[in-house]
Amino acid sequence: MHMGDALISPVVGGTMLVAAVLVAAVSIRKVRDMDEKKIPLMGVMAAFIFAAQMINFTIPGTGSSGHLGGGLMLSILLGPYAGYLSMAVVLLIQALFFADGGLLAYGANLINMGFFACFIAYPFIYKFITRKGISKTRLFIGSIVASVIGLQFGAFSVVIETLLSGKTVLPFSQFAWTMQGIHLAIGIVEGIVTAAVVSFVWKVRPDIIQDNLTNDNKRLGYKSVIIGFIVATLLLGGIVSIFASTNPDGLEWAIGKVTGLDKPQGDTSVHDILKEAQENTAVLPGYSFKMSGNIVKSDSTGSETIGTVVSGIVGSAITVSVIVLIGYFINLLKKRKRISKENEQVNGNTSKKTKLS
Amino acid sequence: MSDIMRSMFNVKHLDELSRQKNLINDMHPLAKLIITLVYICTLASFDRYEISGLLPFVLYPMIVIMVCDIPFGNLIKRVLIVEPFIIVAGILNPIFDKNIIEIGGFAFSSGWLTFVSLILKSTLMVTAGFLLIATTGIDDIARALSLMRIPSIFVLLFLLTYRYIFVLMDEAGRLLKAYALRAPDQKGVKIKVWGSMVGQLLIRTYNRAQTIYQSMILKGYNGKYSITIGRGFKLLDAAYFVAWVSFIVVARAINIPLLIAALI
Repeated sequence: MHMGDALISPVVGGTMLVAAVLVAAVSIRKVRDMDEKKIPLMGVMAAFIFAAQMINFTIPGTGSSGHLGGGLMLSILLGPYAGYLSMAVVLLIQALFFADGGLLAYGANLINMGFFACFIAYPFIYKFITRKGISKTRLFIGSIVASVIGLQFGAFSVVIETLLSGKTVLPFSQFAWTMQGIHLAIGIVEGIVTAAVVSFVWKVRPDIIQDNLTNDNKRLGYKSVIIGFIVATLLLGGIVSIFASTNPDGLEWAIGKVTGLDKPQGDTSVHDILKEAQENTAVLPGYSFKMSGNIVKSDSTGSETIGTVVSGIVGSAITVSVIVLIGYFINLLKKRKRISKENEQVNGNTSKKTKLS
Repeated sequence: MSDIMRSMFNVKHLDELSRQKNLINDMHPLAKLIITLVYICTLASFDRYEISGLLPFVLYPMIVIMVCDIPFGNLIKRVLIVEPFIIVAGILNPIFDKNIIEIGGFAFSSGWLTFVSLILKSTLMVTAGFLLIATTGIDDIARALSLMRIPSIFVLLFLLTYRYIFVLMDEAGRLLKAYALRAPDQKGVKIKVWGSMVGQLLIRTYNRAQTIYQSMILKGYNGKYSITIGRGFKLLDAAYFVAWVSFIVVARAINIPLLIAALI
């Protein structure tokens, strides 16, 4: 589920980051209002998710093993706002130390794995199923349904973000079906695992879970978060579409798929200028591509393309050699420095010796 | 079990690299953070067929690795661990991208260009992310975050989580060792036992959090966390920052390999 930076475009990544930050801002305000006592608990619980992820369990009958995701568990233990913030920290550390999810994709990951678990799955499904009090069955059903639905939202969001970014060419329906299918299975496992832990804690230390429930019931303010999120998405969606129309990249492909056209037809002067610029700068300009199976045969464009490609390869080789050369020089400098340092040390030692004698 | 120890070691190792004394490690953390973000965003802004334009970007990680003495093999191993998903997402491109291009008599799917471009981009981006931690360290990143006006609650949470990851992993490691001694030759923990095992860990964690909170109160915690801002932004930091950002902007605006070829 973690999206890397290579598959996301700056516009999509930036948009999701703004949305994620807005939700985090609301959550921080709520947590600050509630009680600061929770902050060490939040930090340690986020660390707990890491430790729990290290304990793999065997999935019966398959021989494979899986681990916990954590979004739903954090919101059950801490409430949605604190849960979302803890998830934000978990994802930031995963991105920085494990490259599990990129930095540009951080906002997207936080929305996909934090927002849907904490503000959709937890309040509307888990809380709804367990509204008449906790029992083992309700806990299991609630966790499984909530994590399945949360992950389905998240997986669909990944599909949409990937397609809008246009960094890879995957047909929408196949990609979506695969993602939803895989995450249905993951959701069921995640739900069972979450319920297993929560039901154990509920049996042994009911106060931990009860505490949070009573805290939650005092303040049911999800509405503001959800409305804020929707407004932010719509607003930013508008900005994205403006960007996307001047930079036809992912959308171009998506529209092409839908309408069956090779490229969306733009007839503004901006389009012409951009097209010209693109053709001038691209190594393999757009006109050398023809749809499905038609090899470019026109001599003039063909030789032109080959010319560009050859110069591209030559230029690339030179660039790489220059970079390697720079590396070589840095190495040389470092070696020299080391040698001079060693010499100094040796000189120092000898001078000491002469002094002593 | 050994997995836990290994990942703990790996995380610590990256952070510890930042304590070495060298030119880049001594730069202001804010400069390094923003350079990394600009670098990643710029790479992400390239078209999916771009290859030659990406090559000049190798310069940044290479210089940082060389100047900071980052163990190259270790870094590559970490980058490779992340790569499989990108390979899966990329390898489908030659299949689905039905455009055919012809270069010097060879005809192939343009999806291969996308594939190579994706792998190149992802490798550079992931490396840049690791290099940020390896040259800056967690405390300085927290400092940079608070300089960027990220609320102190979040920064505190970030630092607390990082600190307790090791404590709890250690605890999880002991639990697993006890389990492994009684149930040898198992791949993971049986799902029946898993719930109560992790639940135990959770309860211990909860108790620990209470203790931590009490000791924080005793030391005068009042809901706020003040981070020492450290040294100011010097001229050298500004020069470092401007140099890299202008390099990135130029490399994005001009396809340097093509320019070189044109000059020849």
